[in-house]
Amino acid sequence: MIDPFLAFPFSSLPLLAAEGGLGLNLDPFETNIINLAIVIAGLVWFLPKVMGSILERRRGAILSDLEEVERRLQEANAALLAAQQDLAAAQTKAEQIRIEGKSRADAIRLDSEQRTVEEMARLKQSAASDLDSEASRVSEQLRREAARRAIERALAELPGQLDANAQAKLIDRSINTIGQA
Amino acid sequence: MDSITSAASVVAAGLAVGLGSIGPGIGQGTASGGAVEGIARQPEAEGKIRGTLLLSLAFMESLTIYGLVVALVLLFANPFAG
Amino acid sequence: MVPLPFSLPFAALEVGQHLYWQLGGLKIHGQVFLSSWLVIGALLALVVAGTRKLERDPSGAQNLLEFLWEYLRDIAREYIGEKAYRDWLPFIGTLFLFIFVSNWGGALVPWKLIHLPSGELGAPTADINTTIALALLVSLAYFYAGLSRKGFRYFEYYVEPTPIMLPFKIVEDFTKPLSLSFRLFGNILADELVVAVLAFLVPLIVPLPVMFLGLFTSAIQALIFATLAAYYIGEAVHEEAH
Repeated sequence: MIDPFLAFPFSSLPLLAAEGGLGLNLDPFETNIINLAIVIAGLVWFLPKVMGSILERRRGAILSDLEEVERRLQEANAALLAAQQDLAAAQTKAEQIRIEGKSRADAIRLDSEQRTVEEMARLKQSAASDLDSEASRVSEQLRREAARRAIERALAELPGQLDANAQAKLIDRSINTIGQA
Repeated sequence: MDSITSAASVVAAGLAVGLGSIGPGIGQGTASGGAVEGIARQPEAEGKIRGTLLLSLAFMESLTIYGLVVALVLLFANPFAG
Repeated sequence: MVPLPFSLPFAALEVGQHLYWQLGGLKIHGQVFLSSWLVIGALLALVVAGTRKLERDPSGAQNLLEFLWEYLRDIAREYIGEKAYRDWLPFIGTLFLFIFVSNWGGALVPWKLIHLPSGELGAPTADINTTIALALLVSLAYFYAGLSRKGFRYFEYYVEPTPIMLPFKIVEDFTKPLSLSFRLFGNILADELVVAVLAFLVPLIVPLPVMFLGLFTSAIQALIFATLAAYYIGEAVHEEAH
């Protein structure tokens, strides 16, 4: 790997050397290059270890976080699938219950219709019988009323019509009828 | 530059650096002492204490640097020369 | 730094010598531009190579880039807050990556192999102009963040706990970019100088611990710059219930 710091000066040296007073200084003591080499060597040996461990730890944390997130995504997907299946099962069951309920509701409706019809027939019948009994009662009452009135009239007229003769005849007739009754 | 200006500059430069490092030196020692005591009391706070200590040391160091800058100006870029 | 052709007789160091390019009426420091272009090129090459084929299983450069992105997002989110961090994440990320790569590039790349007519190549952030530019960008950024989010109500921040804080807050507006730029510049230049002086005195083994320490502190400085930038922007956009 080309050290970017060192690549610059050497490439532009011919350009710079054209100007006056520029040049390459190779005195090792003035340029301090030996010490610099030792320092850079020390850094290159020491820094990658320190920074490397920090960066490795960071990278490991990121990768494990990504794995965790992916695992949770898969779990969530599986849970979603299961929930969807449950939903479908529940829906069919609900449909079934609905149909069943509807048929039962129809049956009940028919049944109740029938019973209503029967009830109405019964009611009509009982009403009719009620009417009959009422009619007979009324006619009974009327006959009694008529009989009473007739008796009253007869009783009212009778003393006017009844003299000693008629009375003797009536008593004879009655004695005869008693014998025959 | 005449000799008295040079002499005065040299003496002033020495005094600037010397006197200018007394205060910050004491301050940095006190700060480090406090930091070491804090670490001794609560070793798990070492990271934060160390970070704060370094920051504070650099601030105090700058006060010494001001003295050094004055010394450098007097020695190498003396406005009274010539 | 005041440009003077001045080098001390006992040191083969040159501080304050620059390669001047003429751009219109301005003189710019050419060596800073050259090293900056190298840093930008390296960053772009890394990003292009790492995102060439994005796979679900991150490996190699893609893993590294994603890790960097998450790290920067955590910084931005922690300091700017949940609502506004997305707008500022690219800015914070660019600050961090540019400063980090230029600091480490300045410490690791054998710049002195190339001999310039005047001045030396080094870390771009070892020049005060670079760091001041970055700090002014941060200043501009947090002003823009506050004004665009709150309009002129942003200026209530100056009298926030009590109006007595007004002069302090105004001074803070000047010291924030100053301290940002000087902190970064001082650290990087100091590291370069110490290594150069030690190498001049004892060329071979003695500079090594200082070089390793320099790598460590320059990485921390990049983080601090980005964190402070995020903190200032967060302060500017913070709602009362922060």
